[in-house]
Amino acid sequence: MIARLFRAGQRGVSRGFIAFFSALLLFSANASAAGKATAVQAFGLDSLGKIQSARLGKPFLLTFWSQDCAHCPGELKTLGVLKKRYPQLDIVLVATDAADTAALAAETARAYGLSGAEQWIFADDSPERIRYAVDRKWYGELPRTLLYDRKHQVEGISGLVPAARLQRWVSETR
Amino acid sequence: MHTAMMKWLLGCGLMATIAVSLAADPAMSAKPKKPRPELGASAAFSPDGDLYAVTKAGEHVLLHRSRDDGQSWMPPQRVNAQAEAISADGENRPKVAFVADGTTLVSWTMPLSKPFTAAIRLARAEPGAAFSSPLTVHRDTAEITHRFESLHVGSDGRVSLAWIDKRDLEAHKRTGAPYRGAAIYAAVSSDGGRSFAPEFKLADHSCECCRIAAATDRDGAPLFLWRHVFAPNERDHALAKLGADGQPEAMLRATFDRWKVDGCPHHGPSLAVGSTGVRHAVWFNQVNGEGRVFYGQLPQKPGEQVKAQRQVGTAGAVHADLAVGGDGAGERILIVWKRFDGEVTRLEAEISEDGGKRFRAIELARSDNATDQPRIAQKRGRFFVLWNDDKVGLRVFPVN
Repeated sequence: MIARLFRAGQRGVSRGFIAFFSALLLFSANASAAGKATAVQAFGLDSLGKIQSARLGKPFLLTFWSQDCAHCPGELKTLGVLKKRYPQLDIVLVATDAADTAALAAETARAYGLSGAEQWIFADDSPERIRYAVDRKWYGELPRTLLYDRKHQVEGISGLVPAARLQRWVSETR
Repeated sequence: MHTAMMKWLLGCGLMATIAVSLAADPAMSAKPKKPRPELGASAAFSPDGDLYAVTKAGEHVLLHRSRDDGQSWMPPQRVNAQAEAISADGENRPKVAFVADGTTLVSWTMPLSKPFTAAIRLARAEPGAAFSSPLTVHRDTAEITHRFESLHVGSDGRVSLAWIDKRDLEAHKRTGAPYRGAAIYAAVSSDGGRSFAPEFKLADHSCECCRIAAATDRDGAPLFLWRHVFAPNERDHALAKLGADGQPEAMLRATFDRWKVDGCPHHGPSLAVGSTGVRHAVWFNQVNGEGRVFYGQLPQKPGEQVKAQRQVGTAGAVHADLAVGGDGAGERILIVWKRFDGEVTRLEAEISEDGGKRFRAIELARSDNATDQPRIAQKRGRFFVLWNDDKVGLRVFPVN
């Protein structure tokens, strides 16, 4: 890919550099406006506990997703629409990709209107180690969504969450 | 390409800025922020009995050679002289195979700039010669999904690759018509991988992100097994064979567990054909809410069911591989898988020495590190299990 980009760069070096600096400026502006929204936190073995204890007595929705999951853009799109309709909904996103792709995760979430969601990314060389800590019945299928009610009773759903189920969760927890 | 480049540069800008917020986070600063190891590896014995393995290092596929069945490795050789992106994590890995004259074939998936897009690449080296520049095996040049290739060399010398292809999905998107999943395409070479005839479709509606299994049928023809999306959303498996004329035979439903999910399982199957034509397979499916590895003997024709299906290993077993060796009543079947038990990852196995009637369990190894999925290579009916370990490197376990 780098070689391809390099060749592309040779075709339009000046355009490329202008784009690069424009992008940097744009991002700085976005970053200051969005504040902590762009921070992607490292998700380790104890992170789910932290996420839960920060929300005692409060409902929230947690979705695991990945850049390498063909169904995940669909789930993020649905959540983005939901967040726009109900801005107070507490949505937590955890990307299961390598931690060095945090910027791409943040950018993808932003593109789906989810920059206001708390964001995490897997920070362990063995994803199975984290999955085991989160849910022993989860073997890596994505997207994977955990619906928490006020008492933190959890329903885990693999794959796209049916719209009716999401709507029911919203009605029950608002 | 300009848009792609802007995205990439934007990514660089984002990376620099977000690095600050990550570093400020105590959890992240406790662990160095480095790329996850990409451990996808495969192995095969050459006709002269040396063991070869392929791995990824940066933007190169490396070919490793062992003259003592994997107990030690010679310094690796670069397959692609020119750097390019390579997929080698999870269900992705470079593949290695040999033509009867000793020519080495190495295939891989080369990601392109947009998400999910890639091309299928193949490089070849005749005995004693350097690798040729890799070629793209398909004629379709669109920047879309061509990923998760599998490589097969038949007993007649034909080289076949099959992969997950989204050209039909993209065509449907343009017209707004729905299309379930992706498709399986294949390309065949009759000159030992120097060139490929135009690719063709094996089946519509495959699952999108699971590895494809390839095996040699009793008549020498390639058989491919993949996770399929049966209507409306049952992610079971399907099987197709390339006939002697290179044409695909009709697809056959191979498993019937009916895992309904609109998601990506990231668990592909494995397949091996016994001397009497029995199609031994292992696969992962969720049944009654529990994800399990299964062994079974797959249908030969429509209307047949899976025979001798049973769960393999205990809860937590994942990413199984299987191989069949020997023949007749003493046919041996080896199944290997890995299982994280909360502390360590175990490499576990079962072996049958009576054609699959009875199996006995074996534990082969443990690791505290990140590990690849295990793979079985065979030399004259003897089994060797390759397990790539982030800290230890390529480990090989003979199973006798």
